[in-house]
Amino acid sequence: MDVLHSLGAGLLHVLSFEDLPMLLLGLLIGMAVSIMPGLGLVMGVVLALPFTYRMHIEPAIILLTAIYVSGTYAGCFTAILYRIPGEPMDVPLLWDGYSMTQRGEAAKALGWALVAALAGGLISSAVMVALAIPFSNAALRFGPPEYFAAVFFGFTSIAALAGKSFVNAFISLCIGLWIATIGVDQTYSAQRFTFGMPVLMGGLPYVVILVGMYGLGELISRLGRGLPKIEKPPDEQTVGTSFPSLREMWALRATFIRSSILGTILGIVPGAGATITSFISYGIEKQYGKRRDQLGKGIPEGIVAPQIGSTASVAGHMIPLLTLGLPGSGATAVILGAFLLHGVQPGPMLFTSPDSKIVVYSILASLFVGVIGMCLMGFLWIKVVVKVLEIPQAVLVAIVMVFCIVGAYADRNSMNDVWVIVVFGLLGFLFERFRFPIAPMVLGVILGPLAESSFIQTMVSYNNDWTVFLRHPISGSLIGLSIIALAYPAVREILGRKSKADSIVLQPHVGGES
Amino acid sequence: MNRTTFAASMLGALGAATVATPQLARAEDAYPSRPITMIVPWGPGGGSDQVGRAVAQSLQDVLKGTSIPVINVPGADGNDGMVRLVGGDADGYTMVIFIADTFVGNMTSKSAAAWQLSDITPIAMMNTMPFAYYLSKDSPYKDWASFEKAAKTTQMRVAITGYGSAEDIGTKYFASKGGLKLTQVAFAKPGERYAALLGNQVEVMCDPIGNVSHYVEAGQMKPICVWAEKRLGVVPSCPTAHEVGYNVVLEEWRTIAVKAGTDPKKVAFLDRALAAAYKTADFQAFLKSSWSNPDSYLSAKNIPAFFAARRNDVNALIAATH
Repeated sequence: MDVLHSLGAGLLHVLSFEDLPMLLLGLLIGMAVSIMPGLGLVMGVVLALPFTYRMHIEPAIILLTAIYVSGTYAGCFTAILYRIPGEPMDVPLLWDGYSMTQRGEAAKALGWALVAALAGGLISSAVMVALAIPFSNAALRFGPPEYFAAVFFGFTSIAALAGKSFVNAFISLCIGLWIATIGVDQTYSAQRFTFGMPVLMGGLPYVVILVGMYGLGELISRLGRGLPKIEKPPDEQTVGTSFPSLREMWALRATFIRSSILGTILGIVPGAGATITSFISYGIEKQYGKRRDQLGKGIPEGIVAPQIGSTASVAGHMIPLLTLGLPGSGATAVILGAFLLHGVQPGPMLFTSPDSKIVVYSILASLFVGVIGMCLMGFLWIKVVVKVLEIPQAVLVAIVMVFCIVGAYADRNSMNDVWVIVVFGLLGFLFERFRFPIAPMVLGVILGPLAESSFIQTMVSYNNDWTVFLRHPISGSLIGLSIIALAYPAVREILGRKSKADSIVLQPHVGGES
Repeated sequence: MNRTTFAASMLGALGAATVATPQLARAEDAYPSRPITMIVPWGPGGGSDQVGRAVAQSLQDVLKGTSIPVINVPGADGNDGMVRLVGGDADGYTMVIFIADTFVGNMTSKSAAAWQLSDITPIAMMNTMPFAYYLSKDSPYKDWASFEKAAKTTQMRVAITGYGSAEDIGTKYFASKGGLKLTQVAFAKPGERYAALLGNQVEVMCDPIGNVSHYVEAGQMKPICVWAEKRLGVVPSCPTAHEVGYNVVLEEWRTIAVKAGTDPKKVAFLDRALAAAYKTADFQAFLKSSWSNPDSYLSAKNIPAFFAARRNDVNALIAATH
């Protein structure tokens, strides 16, 4: 009851004059960036971050969360209508979504995507609200070994989920962990890889690295590929949405439930972003769905599963962020940055004081409002929204480039950060060029310091006895899961050789989103 | 608070636009002509962060029109933030909150410190409060005596902010003097440190009293030994270290400093401004609510002597530790 009461109070905050405009703005930004190819939702969150510096914490976080959640939805428009995936997570929507469009069922396909986003968003938000308090209670029992194990699990799962590019993902992760060690170390104040340069002593700011790798890097590779004019399909279809009937939805109930649970749970795992969730949901549908044989030929399951997966992962990601202060993806890392800029450290302590509790519940309530709001906008304004595609690419790239660099500077008013973003922009370009996934590296940079400090705290607390990681129930289970995650690619390889026909496409090119 | 910041910066921008436009030639002379950044070398939510933000707020009120954005640069016992200040320009547009922990850390650092005390110019002492040991409410020990008795035979973990800090030096002294089995565990972020105590990841925590006043008031943490000269009015039942047989008086103190080499006129300006900020009703209310010593303030000219005295205290404590 207390939870519902808090949620109600949060809802009132969200509908206030201060928060609601930010929520709507966030939804619009999220839609715009996820439709434009080359701009991901992480970029949207990153670009909006400097504008939140002067805001109150609540509207700031609500703005960023709204960008995040609607960024997982709007990409379906262009994927289904024009076969242009706005984000990597929209790729699974192409297979069935565009097939339906070719059969002239575009409106129906869009309707399914809307229903899926709504269901995935609401179910996972509800699960998250229910889990927030138990999670934060459990989080208080999270000591250094548990934190280390959770981060370790994140590292292993992101490498494992990279599928065929496991080795590349692992290298990428190690580069990220190495970058995280640059600077004066947190525990013993030793200088590492600073080469005596004062710029490097404080370490490299992860927000700037994020903007460089995801933003600048992608822009540079687009310049390298040339800037094709996006051509709309020859037959200007009537862009609209028609909803599936209740009976049709009932027929897909298994897909709805399966994907919602999968999306939320995968969201909790650090490292499994919306893209990975979307691909896995599709993959699971392909293996266990009732109509798995027809998947890929234009059936609603192929739209519903990935769409639910990616939208549900948002709420899933917010749980470890709010209760443990553990960002599992690029977007949540930026949201964590916004929390810290406002002097609030997310973690179990957030739930102990009434002041911060109302902020948390406002953020949770904003997810419900945001999910409903984005679906309404998608329904009503879809024609306007897809107009974004008509902005000339050259202009768009130039504008975004300026925003990236200004954003890097604005983070700390530091010219050094501008050079940092340039370096990481080039690195991002090279990663893309040589097919190294970016997400593991970024995750290494973000979570590396936490992994290190919690490891050292554990070693000090338990007299250098490393078996404590295995002996504590929570950390032991997480380490066990990590080992399974590491062994999984090898096992799959062996099984895959045995029955190649059954193997499913599970290798997203995890470049644009984490 | 941030709305006020926003309003202040908007006013500042307007003010700068109307006042500065006809006097572009003099723009260099006018100080401050742009926001002054306050670096807090500690994580958000902790005591130094609260003080930094309260100082920024009051200073902003005093300076009418200059905004004082606060940035957290936690890590390496405050060294990361100090390095940030020292690595920047001595232009008077970056301040840092320089505290006892960083001071002691800089004194005790075995490797060459990344910065020297001579690299900074302290301007004002804004807040002082003693350190204390705390137990969580679920602790099996109820006071210092029962904790001390157990610590002679059982290994106890002590949450501190970092190695070489005042808490670390003090705890080493306690361990040596009383023959206590204490293991210091460093939690740089205050939130992690408090969660470690409340979640029973450590048996005891050392922190300045004001940082955790609301946890103490809520009964979640219990101070069992305060490193002050006499008992505190806010927690009268908590004995001093001296009373329980440990000759230690250590205070957390927090000064505002700029990079050494900053124009003396700018330093004098900030000295006056911080004196005024200290006297504002808001800051006085903050001192009261944060359980700080009511007469914390020292001006720029008195700080060097204060530093020298603290240096002697710390050296004496280290000498008394075997």
